[in-house]
Amino acid sequence: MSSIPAVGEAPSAPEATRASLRKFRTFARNKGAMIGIFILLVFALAAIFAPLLSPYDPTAQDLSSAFLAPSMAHPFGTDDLGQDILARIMYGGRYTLAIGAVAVSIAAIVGVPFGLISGYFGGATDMVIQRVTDILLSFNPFLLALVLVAVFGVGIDTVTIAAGIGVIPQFIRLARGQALTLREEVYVEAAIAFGESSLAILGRHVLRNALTPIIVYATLNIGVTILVAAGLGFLGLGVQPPTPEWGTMLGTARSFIFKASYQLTFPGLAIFLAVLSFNLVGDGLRDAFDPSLRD
Amino acid sequence: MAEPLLSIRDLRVTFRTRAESVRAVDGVSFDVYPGETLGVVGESGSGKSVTMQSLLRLIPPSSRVVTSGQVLFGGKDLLQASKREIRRIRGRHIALIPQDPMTCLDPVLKVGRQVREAVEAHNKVNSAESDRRGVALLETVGIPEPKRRYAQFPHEYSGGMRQRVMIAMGMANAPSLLIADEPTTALDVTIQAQIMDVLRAAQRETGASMVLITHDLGLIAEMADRVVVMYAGHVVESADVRTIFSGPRHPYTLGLIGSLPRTTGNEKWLRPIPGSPPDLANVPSGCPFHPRCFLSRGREICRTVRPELRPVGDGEHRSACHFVGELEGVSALPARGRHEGAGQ
Amino acid sequence: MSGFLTYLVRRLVAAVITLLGVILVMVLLVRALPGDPARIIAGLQATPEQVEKIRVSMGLDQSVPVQYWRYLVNLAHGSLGTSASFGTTVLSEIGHRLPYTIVLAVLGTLFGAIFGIALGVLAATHKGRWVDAFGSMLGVAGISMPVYWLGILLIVLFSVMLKLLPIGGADTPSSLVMPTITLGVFSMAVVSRMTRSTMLDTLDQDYVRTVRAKGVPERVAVRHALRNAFIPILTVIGLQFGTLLGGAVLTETVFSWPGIGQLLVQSIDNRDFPLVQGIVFVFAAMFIVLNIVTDLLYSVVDPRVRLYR
Repeated sequence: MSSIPAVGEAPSAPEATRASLRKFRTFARNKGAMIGIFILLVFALAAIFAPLLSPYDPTAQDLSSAFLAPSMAHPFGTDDLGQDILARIMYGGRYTLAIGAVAVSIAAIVGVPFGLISGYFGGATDMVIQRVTDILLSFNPFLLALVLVAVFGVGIDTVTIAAGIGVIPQFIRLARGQALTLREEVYVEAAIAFGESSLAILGRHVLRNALTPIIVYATLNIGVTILVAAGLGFLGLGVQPPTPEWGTMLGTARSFIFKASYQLTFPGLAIFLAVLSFNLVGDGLRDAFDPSLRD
Repeated sequence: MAEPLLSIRDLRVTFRTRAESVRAVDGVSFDVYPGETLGVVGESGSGKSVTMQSLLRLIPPSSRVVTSGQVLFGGKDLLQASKREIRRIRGRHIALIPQDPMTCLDPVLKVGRQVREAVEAHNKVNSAESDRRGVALLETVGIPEPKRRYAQFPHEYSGGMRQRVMIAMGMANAPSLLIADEPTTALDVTIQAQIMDVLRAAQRETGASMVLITHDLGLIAEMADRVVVMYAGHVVESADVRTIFSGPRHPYTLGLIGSLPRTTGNEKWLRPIPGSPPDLANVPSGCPFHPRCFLSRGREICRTVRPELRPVGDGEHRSACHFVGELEGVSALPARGRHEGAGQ
Repeated sequence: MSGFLTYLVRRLVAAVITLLGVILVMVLLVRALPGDPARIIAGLQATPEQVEKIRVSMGLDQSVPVQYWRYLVNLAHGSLGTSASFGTTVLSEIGHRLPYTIVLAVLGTLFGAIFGIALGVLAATHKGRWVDAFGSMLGVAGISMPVYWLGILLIVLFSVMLKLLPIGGADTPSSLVMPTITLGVFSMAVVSRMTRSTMLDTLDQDYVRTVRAKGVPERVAVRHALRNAFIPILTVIGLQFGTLLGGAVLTETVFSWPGIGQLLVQSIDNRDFPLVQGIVFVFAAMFIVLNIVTDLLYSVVDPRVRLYR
C-alpha cells in the first residue's frame, strides 16, 4: 500500500509530483482537449509567423482586386478594399489572442486578490466586496464592456481593458470561494498558530493552492473575452479598421452580404474555432485537475 | 431440506475504475430457503450489500461493473434475465429495503405518492384504490395518523418513520423474499427494537423469507435462523444461528463473536480483531483473512491457496479454512499477546 | 406568512441598493467622459446656450452627489431624462422598444430551456454512447459560437439562398424564427451541459435506486431524477435570461430587430448618454428582478427550501 500522508500534512513532494503526472495524463487522454490544443497551435503559429507565411500585407489595399472569390492566388478571397483575407485572418490572430490573454490577465490580477481578501477575512470587507461584485454582475460582460467603450472611446486598448473588466467578477467569486475553503485547511491553521502574517499566508498557502482553479478558470474565460472583443468589433465599437481584428472584419463584411458572402465565412469561423479550442482545453484542464469546478 | 427459494452460485462482482479493479464480491455462494430468516454478517466492505443489490441489478449506472455467476430464483437465472423480467421481479417477488432511510426517499415528492408508486408498479388500480392501500400500508407498519402522514414530505418524517415507510413499500406486494439491508444501523437503539418488531410481523404475516444484512451480531442473534459470514467479498462460514454463536469454526467468526463486549467476568479491555479489513483493490493472496489470522501463523498454504467452503461435522455447517480441525473446542480468541498476525 | 414577507423585503432592499450602485456607476462614468460631457451630449451643432441647458438639467455643473440626487429625484418622478438624439423622453423611447426585446428574450430562453433539457437528459441517460458524445459536441460548439456569426449564417442560408425567411425587421411572425434560434443556441448549450451533469449526479442517488427497486420502468426513474435535478437547472435557466439580454444587443443588430438592444447601439453611436444611462438602468433592473423571481421559484419547486428561515 502506498504511504498516505498523515492527517494535516500537505502531501510530500514525490506524492505531489506523481499526482500531477497522473492528472497530466488524464488531460492528454481527453480527445477534445487535444483537438483544442492542436487548433490553438495552428492559430498561434499562424499568428507568430504571419509575415513569413503570407505574401500579402494585410492592410495593403488594391481596389482593382476587390471582391475576388477564393482562388489559388487568394485562398480566402479578397475583401471590399482588395485586401487578402487569409493574410488578415493570420495577422488578426495576433490581435485576438493578445486581447484575450491580456484581458483575462487583467481580470485575474485585479479580481483574485480582492476575492481572496473577501473570502479570507470575511465580515464587513466581504460584504462590501460582495455588493460591488453584485453590481458588476448585474451587467453581463458584453454589456459592461459596451458601456465602458461608450464612455472611454473605441480602440484596442479600451476594448482589452473593457473585456477584462467584464470578467473580473468571475475571478472575484472564484477566489473568494477558494479562500473560504482553503482557510479551513489544517496547514493554514498551523501557519496562523506560528504567527505568520495574514499577507504571507494568503500569498504563500492560499494562493498557491488556488492557482490551479484560477488557471482553469482563466482558460475558460479567454473564450468569453475574445467573444466580447469580437462582438464590440462587429458593432464597429471595438478595434477599428484597417486593423484586421476578426470581429471588425465580420462587421464590415456584413454590408456586403449579397455581393460577397464568402467574406463572412472566414472571420466568423476563425472566432468560432479560437473560442472553441480555448473551451475544449479549459474543459479538459478542469476535468483533469479540478472537477469540483463543474457548476 | 426443501428446495431453496434463492440460490446464489459463485457470484463475482468487480468494479472497474481506470486506476484499479475492485473485487467487491469474489465467488459467493449460498441459498435462502422459504420462510427462513438468513442473516448475512460482515464488516463494512465485506460485500454483503453489493451481493444483494446485484441480484436485482440495482448497482448505480455510473459504475462500470462486471458480474458473473448464477443467481437462481423461481427457475430463472436473474443475472441473465431480460430487463422486463427483472422489473417484474423487483418489488413483486423480491423486495429490497435499502440502507440509509435518510437518503432513500425522493425529497421533492410526498410520501404517499411514493408508497402509491410501489403499489401501482405491479397492480392495475386506480389512484383512489392505491391511495387506500397506501394508507393501509402505513398503518400496518405502525405510522401514527397514517392519513395525515400520507400527504407529508420525507423531511417531515423522523429516521425511524422513514425506515417504516421503506418497509411498507417493500411489503406492498407481499414478496416471497425480503432483503433488509442494515435496517437499523442509522437509528437509535430504542427505535431499532420497534423496527425489528415491524419486520418480524411483516414476515410472519406473509410467510416470506428474509435476508437480513447487518454487522450487528445482537440483531442476528435475535432474528436469524441461519447465518452467513462474509469477509472481503468471500463467504467464510455458514451455519445455523446457534452454532455460529456457540461453536464457530472460522478464525474470523471467532474474532467477531469474541469481540462482543462481555459484562461478566474480569473483562477490562475490548478484544478487537487485530489489523483492519483489506483494500478490496488489493485483496491478500490465498485466504483473504490470513494477515489477521491467529490460526494461520504465517503458514504457507494460508498465503497461497484460497480455502473452499467445506462442511464441518454433519449438518449444514460450512467453513472456509485450511485448519478448521484445529478450532475444535475453541470458543474464543486466545488472550492477547500470544499470537502475532502476519502482515499488516 | 410573515417569514416570507421578511425575506421578500430583504431581497428588495438588497436589489434597491444594487440598483443605486448601478446608477452611481453610470453617473460617474458620464462625468468621466473625456472632454466636456455636456458638449458631447449636446452634439457638435449645439449652441453654447443649449450646451449650458444640458449641463444644468443633468446636474453636470454640480458635484457628484448633487448630480446623483438629481437623477434619483427624476427617477422617482418616473422620468429617465430626455434623449439627446431623439428629443423625446428616454422613457418613451425605451417603452416603445422594450416589448420587442422581452419577447425575443423569453422565446430565446424557452427555446434554450426546452431543447437544452431534452439534450441533457438524452446525454445523461445514454452516457458514453454516441448520443452523449454528439450532445457534448453540440454543447461545446454552442457556447463557442459567436452570436452574430450564427445569425449571419442563418440569414445567408434562409434568406439569401433559400429565400424562406425575411432578413430582418419585425414585420411578420416569421421574422421571429431566426433571431430566436440565434439567441437560443447559446442558452441551449449551457442548459444542456448543466442538465447532463446534474442528471448524472441524481441518477446515482439512493432514492433513484429505491424507485428502481420497486420494479418501475426506467423512464419513471428518470422522471424522479429530472424532478430533483430541475432545481439547479432552474438557476441556470434564470441566469441565462440575463445573458440573453446581453446577447440581444448583438442579435437585434444583426436582424434589425427593433428592441432596446439595437437602441443601445444606436444611442452609443450618437453619443446620446441620457438614453444610454436609461437603457443600462433598465437592463440592470430587469436582471435583478429576474434573480429574485428565480429564487422565489425555488421554494415552489423544492419543498425543502424555506428561504425565509
